[in-house]
Amino acid sequence: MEYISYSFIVFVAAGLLVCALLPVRYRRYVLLSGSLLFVGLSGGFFSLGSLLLGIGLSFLAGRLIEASGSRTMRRWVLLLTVLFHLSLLFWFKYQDLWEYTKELYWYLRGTEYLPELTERRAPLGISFYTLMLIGYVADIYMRKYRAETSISTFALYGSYFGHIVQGPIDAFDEVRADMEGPGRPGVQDMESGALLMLYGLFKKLVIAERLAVPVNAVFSDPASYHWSVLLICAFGFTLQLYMDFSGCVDMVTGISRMFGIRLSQNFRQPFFSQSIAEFWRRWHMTLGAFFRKYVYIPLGGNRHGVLRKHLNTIVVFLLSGLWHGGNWTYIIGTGLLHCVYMILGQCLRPVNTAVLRLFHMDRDALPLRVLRSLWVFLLVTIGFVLFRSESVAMAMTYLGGMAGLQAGIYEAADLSVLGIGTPDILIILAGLLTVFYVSLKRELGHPVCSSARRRDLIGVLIFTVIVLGFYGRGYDASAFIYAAF
Amino acid sequence: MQTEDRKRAYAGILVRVILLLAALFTVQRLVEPKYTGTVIEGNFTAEYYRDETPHDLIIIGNCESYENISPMVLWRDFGITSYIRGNANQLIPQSYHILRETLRYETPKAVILNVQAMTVAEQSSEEYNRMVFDGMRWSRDKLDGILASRLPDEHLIEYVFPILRYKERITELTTDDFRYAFSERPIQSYNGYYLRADVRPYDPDSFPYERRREDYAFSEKNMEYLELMTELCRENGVELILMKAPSAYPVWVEPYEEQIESFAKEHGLMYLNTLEHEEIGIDLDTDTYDGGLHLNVYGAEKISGWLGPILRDSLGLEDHRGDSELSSIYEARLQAYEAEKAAQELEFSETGYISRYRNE
Repeated sequence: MEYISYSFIVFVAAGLLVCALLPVRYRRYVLLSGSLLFVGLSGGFFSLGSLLLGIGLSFLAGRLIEASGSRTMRRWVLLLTVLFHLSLLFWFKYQDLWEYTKELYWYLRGTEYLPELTERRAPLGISFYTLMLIGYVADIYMRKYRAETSISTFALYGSYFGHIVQGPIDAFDEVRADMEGPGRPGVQDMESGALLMLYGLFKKLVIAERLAVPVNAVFSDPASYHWSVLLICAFGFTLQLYMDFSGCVDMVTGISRMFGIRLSQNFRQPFFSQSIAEFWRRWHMTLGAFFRKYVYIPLGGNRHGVLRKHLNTIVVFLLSGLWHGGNWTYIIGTGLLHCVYMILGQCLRPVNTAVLRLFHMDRDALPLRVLRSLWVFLLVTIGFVLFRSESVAMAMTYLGGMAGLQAGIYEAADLSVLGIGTPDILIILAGLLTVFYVSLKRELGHPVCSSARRRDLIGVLIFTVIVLGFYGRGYDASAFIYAAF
Repeated sequence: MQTEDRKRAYAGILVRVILLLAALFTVQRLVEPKYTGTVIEGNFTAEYYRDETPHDLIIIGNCESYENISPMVLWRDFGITSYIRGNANQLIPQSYHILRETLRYETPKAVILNVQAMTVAEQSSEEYNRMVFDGMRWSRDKLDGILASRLPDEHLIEYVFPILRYKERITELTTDDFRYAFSERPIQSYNGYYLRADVRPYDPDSFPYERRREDYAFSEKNMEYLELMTELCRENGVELILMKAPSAYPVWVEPYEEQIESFAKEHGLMYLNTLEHEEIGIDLDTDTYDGGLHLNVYGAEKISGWLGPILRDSLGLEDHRGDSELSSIYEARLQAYEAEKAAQELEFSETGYISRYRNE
């Protein structure tokens, strides 16, 4: 069962119905059974078994750490639990790292190397629940809160269908109350939840899936396209990724709200960011928060001088890139490249300040803010070209073609080569404008719509998603991009 | 006051739901294929419901049924009332459910099943399934038919709500989509018959080489449904006739013939293999419009002229030409048939093609 499937709609509707019919005290058990069923149906017994093993072990580790008076014992339990989780993660996700490394090595030596990939199937959501379970055990070790005593509450936290596939990577203490006893949502919660869910579907099915058509065409053969097409599709992929990932998070956050569970915020208008550092505080926020909390700060953060700070930043971004997968396209595209951006940005800050002073420019003037946002957008797009490419070599072909004003073999304006027509482009533009409008309202702290208009919007979104969405036979709209991690 | 507010809120929700459903229904009617262009076969299933006259003969099957027998000739020459319930690549399980549905509306004296479909185990393309079922009225038979023949990635809900399948047509609507969104399309067939008056002689090189199979046995599913069809006809007192049309391709090999002969013998059914009846006079230089795959109107009329006496003499199908009410309906259809045939003949003689089917 995938999020974008008729069976998932039936699954959610049945869950809501059962929750509405049963007393609130049973809601946790309904959600837990539903979540385990979802994992079983989506990933099979293999995924379910791995997940239950991880949950059981982390639950016991939490209890053991809390009960133990010995610091050494506590440390060993923490170490062994983290080692267990990371070993599993490494086994399933990084088996091809060495092959990708050889591919990169030979590419740098000017030779092509075809990696022999094992393509081992990873348990559903392993990247996400591994971090959540490690975070929990680490928090108990650091005595941030008491260990959970109810296995059903903890199992629901670890397996909850709303965050296991693509996050958010919720910290246990932030969702603990809802996992212990999901409340009965009121009319407002149901309406705002439905609206958020539909908005997520709109972003995913109407915009992201439409953008995917030309993006997939161009990324499969970048050497054949005109540089302007490469540029547009590079920006297109950045937008597709955002619509896809944030759309999924909106969808599950909305559904969760209807079940009485409030998930953590994962995106906060990232394209309004004024710097790369800010971008990572607004994009995949729960992943950033995890690495900040459990890696950057324990390593010393910015408290031990500039050099150490830069070193810590490198470690964090290396791990962040690695978390996405064992391919160097991820490690560089979402990790090391951003790290370089950040360190360079920090080094050049005095120059930046001096230039602003020289020309008597207000740092917060709107044109400058817009320019900085566009600059950040361009920088992250370069990283996402790597992220989207199958290999570093292909990414270099893409970026080289873009920067070198490549002519390509296809006409720049031939949309049929890209698989979309003018109506699709108009729908994409209208969709992007809608999302920009909503993002701007949120950024300015204004309500997106009045409660009186909410029901109208629900109707409009249902209509738009059904009529203009890319789904069903003929489209591979089922998988969200981040579900692969 | 609170009760009033609640009532107002419920009324508001109801109005919104009605508006949403009305908007979706309108779009659904717009985007559903109208089959008014080159592919008119998509209309055939639905057209049956618009014919309120009873039929003594029902012809069931795939393209070999709706292109090889002309009900108009059966009427004109023998007074036999007949209707073809056939579609492109209509599978045997689909034919069974369409027959079962037909028998709920009327009880013919005989049913002809074209057996070429017995060689087709699975559907090759979703479009064929949609053409069979989109125009079918909702009933247990439609549901069972879809479940028995849908492709692995076809969803039942997309048949229930066709908007979910055809939504992408929203960007390519034509004037016909608006014209026929809420009004009935013109009847495209002649009692289910697909009229083609163009000629393209038999050309053995135009067909792919017939691959040898390891096993020529009909699929278990097809045999099961053939049994069901036989049983259904027996229960309803209907004579089931098995028939093979005189097409040159796909090749009707001996093992197929043996299986059908054996089945017919075992169940006491009449089996007509037109490939073995030279007296019909089929000439694949003049009687086919696509090089031997399907018969044109000249071939179909020859088959009908040969079939009529068999139906009359062996099965006792009556001559209804004396029935004034039926006669007036059929004569009008016959006139339209003759007019269309003449128009296509004229166009073909002048241009060498029929413009309507030019894109094939």
